Amino acid sequence: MQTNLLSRPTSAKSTNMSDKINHPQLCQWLESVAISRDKQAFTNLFQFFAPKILRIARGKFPNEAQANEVVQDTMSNVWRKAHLYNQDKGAATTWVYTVMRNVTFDMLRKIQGNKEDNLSDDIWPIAESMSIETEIFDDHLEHANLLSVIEELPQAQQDVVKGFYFREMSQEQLAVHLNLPLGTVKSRLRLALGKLKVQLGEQHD
Amino acid sequence: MKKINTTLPIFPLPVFLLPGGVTKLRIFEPRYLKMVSTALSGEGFVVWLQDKYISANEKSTNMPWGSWVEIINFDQGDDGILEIDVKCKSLVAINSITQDEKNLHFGDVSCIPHWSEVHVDKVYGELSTSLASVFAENESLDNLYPQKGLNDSHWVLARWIEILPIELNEKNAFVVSYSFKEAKAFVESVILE
Repeated sequence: MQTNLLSRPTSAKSTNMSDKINHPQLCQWLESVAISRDKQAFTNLFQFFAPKILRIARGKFPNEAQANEVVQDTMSNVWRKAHLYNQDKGAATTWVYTVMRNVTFDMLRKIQGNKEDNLSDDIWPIAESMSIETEIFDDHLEHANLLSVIEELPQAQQDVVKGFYFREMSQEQLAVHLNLPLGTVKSRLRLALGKLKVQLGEQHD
Repeated sequence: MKKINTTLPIFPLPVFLLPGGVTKLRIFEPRYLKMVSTALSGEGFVVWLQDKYISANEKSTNMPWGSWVEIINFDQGDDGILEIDVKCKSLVAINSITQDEKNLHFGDVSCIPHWSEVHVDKVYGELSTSLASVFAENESLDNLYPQKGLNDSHWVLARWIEILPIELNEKNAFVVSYSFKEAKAFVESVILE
């Protein structure tokens, strides 16, 4: 008998976009994230939503980094705000896509703002080139921008990482801990569980 | 079986806890906030292991059981949500369940014995040192256990079963089916070989 002890069948299924969406499963994951900061549930949500969000975001933003930022910001909002999801009010997918829409609007607004700045630079190129002071000022701004971008990205990741409450090791963590390849750890777990099942069967016979 | 029968609030969660085990929970639903406030002045509550992997079949053939917990710490998260640390003091059989008008479950429960609540003065060299290094590497886990039982082989084994990455229905079997001996053989074959 083939049992799917460790293959985490749901996450495998969820990446298959043509399949029917398992709404109760998504709700359960969101709930686990909200209540017990369940890292595995969040991973499952990430695997389900990230490719879909990325695909939509690529259509809205010309550059890959911006599309990735939409994924990052959306998922970190999902992590932080999972408790605000109410399954009586709508599907988990609707809620996550609403979070994504808000992130997208924020980013478009930001880009729009940048465009206006660029435009004003273009209108007064001569004035700008004449004033050394302006150049310094620009450089200073650019530098500050860069710093804020650097600070912002790890912060978003940090929020996700910081928020995880340790409840269970992931298979990856266990592999690192035992200093073994992931595959070896997976098969060890599978074999050890299989052995238990056999023993249990013998007891019942 | 100890003859302690009592009625306690029940919180269905995908959380596996053995006696001595501690976990952090985030509480935001009004009914569970109410539960926590009664639990603080009363006798705690029961975490009832719920997970879709625990099939209907297993639920009907196996006794429903839960982890009777007491609240040992509480705090407010960055987002203002109540966070509580709960520690399991005993496993209980859930004999019957009722629901109140606020949709909160109450169970008539009785304590069931489990090897993990028996303290022993016996050290597993490698399982214990390996667990100690897991604690050392994970601050949030370490913080849950200011006092560790690394010299107690049952405590060490129970914590390993709680944190190993296996499905919750597999963990469930360490309460309903497997003995201490089998649990020990399992953890050793994963960690030591």
